[in-house]
Amino acid sequence: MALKAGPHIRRRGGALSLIRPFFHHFKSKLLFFFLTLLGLVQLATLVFIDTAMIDSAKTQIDENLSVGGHVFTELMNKRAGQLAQMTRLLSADFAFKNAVTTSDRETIISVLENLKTRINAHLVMLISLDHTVLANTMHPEIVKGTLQLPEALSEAENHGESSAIVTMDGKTYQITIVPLLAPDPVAWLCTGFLVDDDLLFEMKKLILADVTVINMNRTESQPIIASTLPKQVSQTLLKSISKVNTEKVNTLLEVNYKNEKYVTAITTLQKVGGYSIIAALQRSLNEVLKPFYTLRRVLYVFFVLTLLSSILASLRIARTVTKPVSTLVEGVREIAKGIYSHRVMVRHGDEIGELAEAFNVMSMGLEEKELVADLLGKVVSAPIAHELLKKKVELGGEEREVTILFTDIRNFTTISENHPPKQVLTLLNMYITTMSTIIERHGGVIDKFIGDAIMALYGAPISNPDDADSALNSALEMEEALSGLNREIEQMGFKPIDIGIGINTDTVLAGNMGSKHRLNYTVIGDGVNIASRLETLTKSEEFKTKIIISGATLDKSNGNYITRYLGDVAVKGKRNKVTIYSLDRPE
Amino acid sequence: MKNNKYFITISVITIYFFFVLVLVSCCYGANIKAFITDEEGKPVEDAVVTATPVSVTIKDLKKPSDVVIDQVDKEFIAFVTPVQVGTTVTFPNDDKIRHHVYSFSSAKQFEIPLYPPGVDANNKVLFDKPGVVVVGCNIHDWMKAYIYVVETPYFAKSDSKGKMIINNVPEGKYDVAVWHPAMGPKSQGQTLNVSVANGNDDDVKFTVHLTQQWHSRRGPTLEGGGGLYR
Repeated sequence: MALKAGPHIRRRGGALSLIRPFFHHFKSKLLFFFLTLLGLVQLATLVFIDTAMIDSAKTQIDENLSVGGHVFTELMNKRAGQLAQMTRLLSADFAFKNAVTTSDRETIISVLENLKTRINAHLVMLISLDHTVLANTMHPEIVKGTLQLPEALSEAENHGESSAIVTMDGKTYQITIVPLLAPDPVAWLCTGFLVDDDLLFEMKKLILADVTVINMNRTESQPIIASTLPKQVSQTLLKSISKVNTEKVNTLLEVNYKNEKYVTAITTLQKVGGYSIIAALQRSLNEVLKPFYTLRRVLYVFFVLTLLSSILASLRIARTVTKPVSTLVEGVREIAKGIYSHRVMVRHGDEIGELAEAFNVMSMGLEEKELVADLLGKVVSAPIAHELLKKKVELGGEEREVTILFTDIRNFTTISENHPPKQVLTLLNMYITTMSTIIERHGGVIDKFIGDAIMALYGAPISNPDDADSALNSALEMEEALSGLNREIEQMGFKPIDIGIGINTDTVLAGNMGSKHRLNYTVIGDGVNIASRLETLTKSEEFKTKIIISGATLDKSNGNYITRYLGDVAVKGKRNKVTIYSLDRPE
Repeated sequence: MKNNKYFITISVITIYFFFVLVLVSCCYGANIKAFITDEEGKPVEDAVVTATPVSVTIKDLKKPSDVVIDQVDKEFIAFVTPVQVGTTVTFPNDDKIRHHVYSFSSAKQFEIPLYPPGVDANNKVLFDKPGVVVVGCNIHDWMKAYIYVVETPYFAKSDSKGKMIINNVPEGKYDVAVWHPAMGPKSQGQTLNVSVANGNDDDVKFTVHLTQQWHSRRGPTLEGGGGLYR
């Protein structure tokens, strides 16, 4: 099959022809199949893992950030609560109350400074019940300051105390306002703690995300209050945030900075007046994906390894198939050459083993058949043997135009009587071998040997247009060969022999004749008898020739022969007379 | 007849006492009855109504008698105490622990530093200026008492039903005003002109706007709990 496919594909040519030879090999096909299959599976796995991982990372970040947002808000509230607690403690200080009632400003400032140090606050203010700043540690020189945080104070008036994030003098504080109870409120005590990068870095340790606190007031020149991010990143973040609606609680957005992708969650910390202060929490997607990237690298290595091992494995599998196959192919080639004794040595338990076994059985059969054919060729003429082997041997025949040649040795009976039979047989064999060789060389088929006579056919079982010529040329050559043969015969002690040849062309019945178990390929018909009769006529002295041919044969030939019309003779059993000619050798 | 004589005697005595009663009541003027509610019509306790004479000069003004603001179970009793200028208030300690009573109010600043239970001669404070004095305890933030020091001897404090009576107000014209610790600025300066006629009680009614007051949380007690004081 493979041998047939080869030239068929090659005929197509074109660009494919460069690729095709690769695919001629089973090995390559198997390799290609396995690698494609494995590659697809691996690719699919990678894509699946990739998608799943990134999705999961995003979900994880989303969840983390959303939790982080709550935690951050909660931490800020807790902090406010703690600051309020501390401020309340300060406000309960009896000496402080006492100092406040003295109205001695210097003393009050000094007390506030003292309180500030006690709780590590960044600012402490004393505000009168009518909203005048009585003392402020940030601006000790101002006697009666105007309040910069009216909302926070009214909140305190309504709820007893308040906390807020406010910006004062360019800095942002988390402030707490509590009443100074003596035991009725006599003033408001306000403490402030900076909301700065340091604070956010502390928070970052807890919420595991970067934090940026942003004042969303449009009039604010520096909206970023504090951030754990590098400045450029926080600026990029600010731009992205200004485009989205931050009103929605826990708004999630993705911010790209250079090659880093930050998932950002937004939490509103405070909403006062028309604007809000928000906290934006970021996590770098790459950072979360870091372990995944490691996993992916491992996978890559793993995939390459499996790919390599599968290449080796498929090569090995291919070899176990292709090696016996090429052995078989070699065997088939040997058989094609006619070397039927060839056997293949493939020991496989599988179908290939069976095939090899079948091959050997086949070649054994072929060898046997060849043996038979060889023997047959010796018994019958090679073309007949071939014809017999080719077709199913069966009785019956077909009508064909055949040129029949008859020859025999004159007075052979006399010769055989004067010599020992063994010598006679040697002589006969010599003669027949010489003549058969000539006949066969000219494409004639030995029909049978009848004692010293030879019957040869031209045109059966295989027809040729020059069958008649072949017969005539055979006859001329036989005549010529006779003189050479006679020299040998004379050396053996025999007298020279003479032969007669009769040739006729006619349509006869050709085929296998005999019984079912023993048959001959031969021809029968009047034409055969005529040829035999013409041979007998050569014995007549009046014709003075060794070769007599019928007009029918001459007609079929090319006519370039030296012939002599001998007359029309009546042949037994034949209504019409047969025109006969002598065939002479050129001088 | 014996019975008749007895009846006459009883009658004469009754009529006598009646006249005496009428006479006495004429001499001591009349009572001012006040009813204080908040804006929702609920009675307001601990409101003080004062009747300051406009046309009457208060004669033979006696030195006001001493008043006691007790400390029981870490609370001042009473919460509101109206006193006339010149009143001495004693702060006995009826708890088993010490107290540190103080006031930073401008009407009267004083301090009785940490003192043990019992009555002490030193625990007396004279209130010689009119005004509101908020009294606290330094070691119990939630303890609070108001002493409302007024010039007039005619004042009274409302009970839980928001009612009070200023007894024996002499005949004359009075400015009747109301005060409450939680009274907002809206209600301040509410004054009614009341003419008191002998034997003729006057009814006055005030509606006060009370504002939210911020207090310290009461600490846990031995009985447990704690929580908002008021």
